[in-house]
Amino acid sequence: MKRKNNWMAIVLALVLVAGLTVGFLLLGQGNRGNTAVTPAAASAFSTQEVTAAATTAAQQPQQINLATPSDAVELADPPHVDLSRFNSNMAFATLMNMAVDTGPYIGQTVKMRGLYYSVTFQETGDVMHLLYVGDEAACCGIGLEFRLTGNPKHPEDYPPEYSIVEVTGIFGTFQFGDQTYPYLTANDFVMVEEPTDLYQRRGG
Amino acid sequence: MTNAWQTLTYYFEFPFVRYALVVGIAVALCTSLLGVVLVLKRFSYIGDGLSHIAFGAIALATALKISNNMLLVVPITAAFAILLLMGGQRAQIKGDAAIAVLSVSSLAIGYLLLNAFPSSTNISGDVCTTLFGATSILTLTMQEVWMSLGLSTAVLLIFVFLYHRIFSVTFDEDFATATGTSARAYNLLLAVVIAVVVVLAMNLVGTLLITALLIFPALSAMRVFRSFRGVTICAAVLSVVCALLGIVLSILAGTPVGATIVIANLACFLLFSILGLVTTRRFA
Amino acid sequence: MNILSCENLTLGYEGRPVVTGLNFAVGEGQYLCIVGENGSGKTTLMRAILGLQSPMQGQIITHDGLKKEEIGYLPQQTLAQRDFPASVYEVVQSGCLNKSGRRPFYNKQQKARAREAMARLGITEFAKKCYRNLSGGQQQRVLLARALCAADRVLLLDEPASGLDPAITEELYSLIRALNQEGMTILMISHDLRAAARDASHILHLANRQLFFGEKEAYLNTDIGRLYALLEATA
Repeated sequence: MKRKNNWMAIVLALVLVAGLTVGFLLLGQGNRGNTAVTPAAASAFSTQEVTAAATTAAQQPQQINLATPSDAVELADPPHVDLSRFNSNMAFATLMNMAVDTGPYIGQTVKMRGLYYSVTFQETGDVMHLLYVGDEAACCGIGLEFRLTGNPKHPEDYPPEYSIVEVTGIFGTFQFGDQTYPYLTANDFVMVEEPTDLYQRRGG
Repeated sequence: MTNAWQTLTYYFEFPFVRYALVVGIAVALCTSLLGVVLVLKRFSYIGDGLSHIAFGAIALATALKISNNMLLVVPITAAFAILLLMGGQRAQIKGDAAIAVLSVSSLAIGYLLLNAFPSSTNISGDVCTTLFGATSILTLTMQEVWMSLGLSTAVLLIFVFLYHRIFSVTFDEDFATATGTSARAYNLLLAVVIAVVVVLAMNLVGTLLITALLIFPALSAMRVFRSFRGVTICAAVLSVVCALLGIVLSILAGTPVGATIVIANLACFLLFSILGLVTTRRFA
Repeated sequence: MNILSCENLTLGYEGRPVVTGLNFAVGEGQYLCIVGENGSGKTTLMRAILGLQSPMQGQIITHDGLKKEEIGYLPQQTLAQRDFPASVYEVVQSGCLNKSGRRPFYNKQQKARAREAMARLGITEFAKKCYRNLSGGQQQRVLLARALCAADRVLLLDEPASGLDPAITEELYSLIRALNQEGMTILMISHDLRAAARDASHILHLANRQLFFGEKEAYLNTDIGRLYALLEATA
C-alpha cells in the first residue's frame, strides 16, 4: 500500500508524452494549412483577395521562364485526368495531391475547370496565367498555372479576368528555388457559361 | 446509380482517396473504442475540450513560428488531458466546468493569435480546415498516413491487451484500486491516449466535430447491447461503417467530409435508439 | 498471527480529522465487526485500510506478506452508473483481475473461480443479464461474488446488508460466517449488532475515536456495549 505508485505513474506519463512528441516530430507531421503552390499563393475566393495576392506576388523578384513552345501540343482524348466533372471538393483535393506528388502525372493530359486570373510581374513584365480551383465552402483553393502555345497576346487572346474556363493541357513541372511547381501546356481554352453567382456549386 | 458507381471506381484510382479511406477507418476505430470509456466515465465532452485546446496549441505554434507544430500540440493536449482526467470520478463536478473554461478560452486565444500572427494569406481557410476538416483527409501526406496507421494500431493494441483492466477501472475505480489494479496509472494512460487520438482525429473531422466520432458510436451501441463486450464491438463496427459511408458519400456529393461522417453517425444513433425501444428485452 | 494493524491512526479530509487515535490489530482468520453511528468514521477507516485514502497521522501496516491482490472488497454504495452496460458475468469476472498479474486475458482457473463464486451466491442464472436490470438484493449478491473472486485471505465489507430484506440478509450473513469458518479474515462494517454479536470474534466501536477494541464477549459486557445493544434493539 505504498504511495510510490503515484510517482511512477507521473514518470511513465512524462516518458510517454515525450516519446510521442519525438515520434510525431520524426515522422514530420504538422504544418497543416494551406501550402502555397504557386508563387502567386492565391488562396481566397473573393476577387479582392485574388487581386491582392496577385499584386503581392508580382512585387517579388522572379526568375521563372514563362516561355512556351509555339507549336501546338498533342492532347489525348479522353484526357487522362478530367477534373472538370469533379465536384469542387474532389477537384481541389485532386489538384492538391497532384501538385504535391507530381511524378505520376507528368506528360499526361489533364482537363480542368476553374476561375481564370492573371499575374503580371512588374520587373520583367511577364504575365502568368492561372486557373483557381476552390473547395465547396470556398475556404481553401489552389491556383494552377497554364501556358498557351502559339504565342498568344495578353489580354486579347486570353479569357476575361475572373471568368470560368476549361483548359485541357499536358501536365508538366518547373523548379523555382527548392520547390517544384506544376503547370499545364495547352493549345486553347473553352469559355464555360458564366454563372451569375460565383459561389454556385458545380455538380459531380 | 451506375453513374455513381463509375464515378466512385474512377475516384478510387487516385491513391489519395484510398489513403483517406484507410486512415478514416483506422481513426474511426480508435475514437469509438475510446469513446465507450469516455461516455461511461461521464467525460463525453472531453474530446471537444481537448480538440479546442489542440487548436489553441496549433495557433500558439504558428504565432511562435515553430516549424513543426506537433512539438507544442502533443504535450499541451496531453498535459490538459491528464489534468482533466486525473481527478477521477470525484473530480467530475469540477471537471465539467474546467473543460468549459479551458475549451472556450483556447478557441478564443487561438483564433486571436492566428489573426494577430498570420502565417499564410488565408487565415480563414486554415481555421476552417482545422475546425471542420473539410478536405484535409483527402490531402494527407504519406508521412501523415503512416503516422495515423501506426498510432491507430498502437491504440487498438493497447485497448485489446488492457481490455479487462480498462473495464474494471471504468466500472468501479475504488474496487479496482482496493484490490491491486492501479486506477491512477490507467487513468493516466487513458489521458495520454485520448490526447493522441484527438490530434489524429482532427485530420478527419476537424476539431469541432470530434465529439461526434467519440460518443455517437458508443451511445448507439448502448441503446441495444447490454454487455461491455457487446457495446465495445458494436461501437467499433458502427464507427467504421459510418466513416466509410460518410467518406464515400461526401466525395460523391461534394459535401464536407467531417459533417457527412457525423450525420451518418447521427442516423445510426436514431436507428439504434428506435431498435432499442422496440427490443428492450432481447439482450437484457 | 496479525495480518493488519493500525498505529496511532488519524484520518480525515482536507486537514480536518474525522477519526483519531486508532490502535488495533487484526489477526488472520478473525471476524472483526466495526460498529458506530453514522459519521463516526467507519467507512473512512475502511477506505484507508484499502489504500483509497492516506492517513493524516499514524500508519496502517500489513503483516505476513498480505498483498492488495489478496483482498476482496464490497463497497457500500454501488458505484456502477445507471447506464453502465455490463453483464453479471463481466462484473463478477472483474474481481479476478488481481490474480492476472501481467497476463492480458483470464485463464481457465480465473473463469472457473468466477463461475464458482456465482454458484455460491446463487446468481448463475443471471450471468448474461445486464447488471443494472437487477434488483438491489441481486446486485448486492453480484458485488459480493465479485469480492469473493478477489479475496484470498481478507474480505472487507461495508454494510453488506443495507437495503436488503431480512431473508436475504440472513443468507448473506450465513455465507460470510461460512467463509470465516473456512479461514477468510473478515472486516465488516455493520449496523446490525445482533449479527455481530452472533458471528464476530472481535468488535471495534468508533465514535470519531476508538471507543472500544477487543473480543466480542468483552464488548458485550462493557457499558458501551450494553448501551449500544439497547439502542440498536429499540431503533
